[in-house]
Amino acid sequence: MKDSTKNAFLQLSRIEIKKLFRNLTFYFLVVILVLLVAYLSSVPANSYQPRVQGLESQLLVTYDLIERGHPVLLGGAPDWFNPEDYPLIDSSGAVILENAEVYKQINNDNFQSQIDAYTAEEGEYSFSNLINKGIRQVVLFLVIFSLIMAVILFTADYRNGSYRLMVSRGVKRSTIVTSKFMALIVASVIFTSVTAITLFVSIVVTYNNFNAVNPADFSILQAGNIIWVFLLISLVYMAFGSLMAIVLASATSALLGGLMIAFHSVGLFYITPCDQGFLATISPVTLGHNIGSILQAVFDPVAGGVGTSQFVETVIVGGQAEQCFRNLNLALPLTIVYASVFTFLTYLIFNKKELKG
Amino acid sequence: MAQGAILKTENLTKRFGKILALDGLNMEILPGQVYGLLGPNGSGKTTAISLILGLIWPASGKIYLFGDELKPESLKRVGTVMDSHGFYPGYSGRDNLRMFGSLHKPVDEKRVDEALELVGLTNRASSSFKSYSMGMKQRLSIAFAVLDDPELLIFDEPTNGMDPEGIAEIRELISQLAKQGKTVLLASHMLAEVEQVCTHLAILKHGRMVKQGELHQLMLEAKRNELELVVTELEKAIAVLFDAGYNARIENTMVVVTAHEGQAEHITAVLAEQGLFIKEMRRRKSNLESVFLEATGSSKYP
Repeated sequence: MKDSTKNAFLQLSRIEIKKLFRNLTFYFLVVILVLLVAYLSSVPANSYQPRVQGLESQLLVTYDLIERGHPVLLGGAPDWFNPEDYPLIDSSGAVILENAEVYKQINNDNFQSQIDAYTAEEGEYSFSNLINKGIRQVVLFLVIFSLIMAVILFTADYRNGSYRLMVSRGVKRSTIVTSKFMALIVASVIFTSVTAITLFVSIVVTYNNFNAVNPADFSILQAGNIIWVFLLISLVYMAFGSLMAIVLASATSALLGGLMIAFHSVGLFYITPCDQGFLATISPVTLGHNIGSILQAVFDPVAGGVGTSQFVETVIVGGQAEQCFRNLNLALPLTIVYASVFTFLTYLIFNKKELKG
Repeated sequence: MAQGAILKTENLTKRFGKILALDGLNMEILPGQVYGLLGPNGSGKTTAISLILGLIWPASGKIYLFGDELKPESLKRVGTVMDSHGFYPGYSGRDNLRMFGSLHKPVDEKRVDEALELVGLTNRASSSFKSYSMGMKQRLSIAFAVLDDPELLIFDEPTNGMDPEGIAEIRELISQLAKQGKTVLLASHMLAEVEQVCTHLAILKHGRMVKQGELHQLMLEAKRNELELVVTELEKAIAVLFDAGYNARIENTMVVVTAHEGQAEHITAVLAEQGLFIKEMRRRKSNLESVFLEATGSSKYP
């Protein structure tokens, strides 16, 4: 790289990053992202207390039935328990209090084990599981906000005429695009970090409200997975936003077009060829489907997959459960191909773009 | 191409859809020339400049800058003032100069101060660009254009949006740059601007170059056969001249007749017969407007 080109690239990257940190929209998006992630990631955990309370009510009803002589055992009997050894009513029809206490104790143990199972490792309300559910909730906003940021960064200089100024000053068009991408990478790292940290903190707070043990089942590996998957998603949709911005050269058009496609893309996260319709048929080659596959593989793997590179998900087709395959071997490479194609087209189109006044 | 030409275009053509915006422009600017690109709005001036600056692509034709075919590297030696200023609205004038002025080499703070001083923006250098008036924005563009002491300066309607005082200053500035030996390409639709500062001229009409050459020479060549008459009753004089077969019109407080000097006696007699006496008669001087009108075949500058 020639010295002057290198200087232009470094200087422009510095300017773009500086502009990013002076952009009010950027801060607005970060704040909204924090609020949405904080709220949405706590949603799955919010059902914990009502479910515990439901179990407690059920337990009290069970106690009442036992005291009235009904031998009720919720959750089944333990191995050592033989109902004939613990009759609940004597020959006179009176409740045998001693045996009633045994029944109550068994029900209480069952109740407690159900509560414990909720928050145990791999339990429905385990820290790890709540994080995984939270990811599903917040990923849509990461996609949308990344796209909006890219569109804003790339279209502002059309509006200002800054692209014309830079090109007329002899700055290579590829240098301009590269410096924009530098700023987008910084924005992407910030979005990713903000989303991951807010998700973590929000669930820690919610989790602690359960009065349960610390989130021991959350590993460094899982934290690393969140970071790389979020970064990948953010970058690929930023690349897409950049392409839309360069093609349409208008913030409004690029946002409308980009968001419309992004919503469809996110819809494809959960669609497989087992579903009906044209999009379902072509879903294995779509960006959305493959990102959905990465999310599922990393955060929600289903045991019993075929081979090491595939796993199954179960969908209901015509009222019947059917197993669908997602090809994980292809998911990551295809996503990277999409990101590369968007990036390449952004360079190519900007190089050919007429910068009219 | 001619040795030493700073800028040369060969059959430069540009279409926007069905519209032929520029039709085979051949132009050559030598070092030290102040070259005016004159034409009404929509004549192709900005299109030509956008092509020269690599902002849009020609349908056909070639552009040579400093002897080489157009490439980004050559544009580093060009200073430009365009309508779309391109500065960042949230930054001050000085910061904009610092940022854009350091794209190819570290910025020289002294040069930034000098450039701001030159265009009279020192006092407002720290104000945000978005708070600038149209004229101030234009001045900042000029400061940026001269910042790196470029070999070629391209001005596209540099006095747009400026007040009369500002216009005079900018014209003076362009003249100064010309005296310093800078090569200047000035696109303008203002005749006075071009006439005052340019040494050479190209006239564009509907994307075609209809005339080009040294301004002084063009003015000499455009000796129009027109006589200016000062008479008392303008309307009556026009009617009499029409009846006598002359083409005449009123301009300001004079009658302008299309006629050569040999017809002066006849005109005097025709008017006198109707009791109209000429107070003053002179051959009309050639000016840029007449050059333009002759070149474009128009009756009036748009």
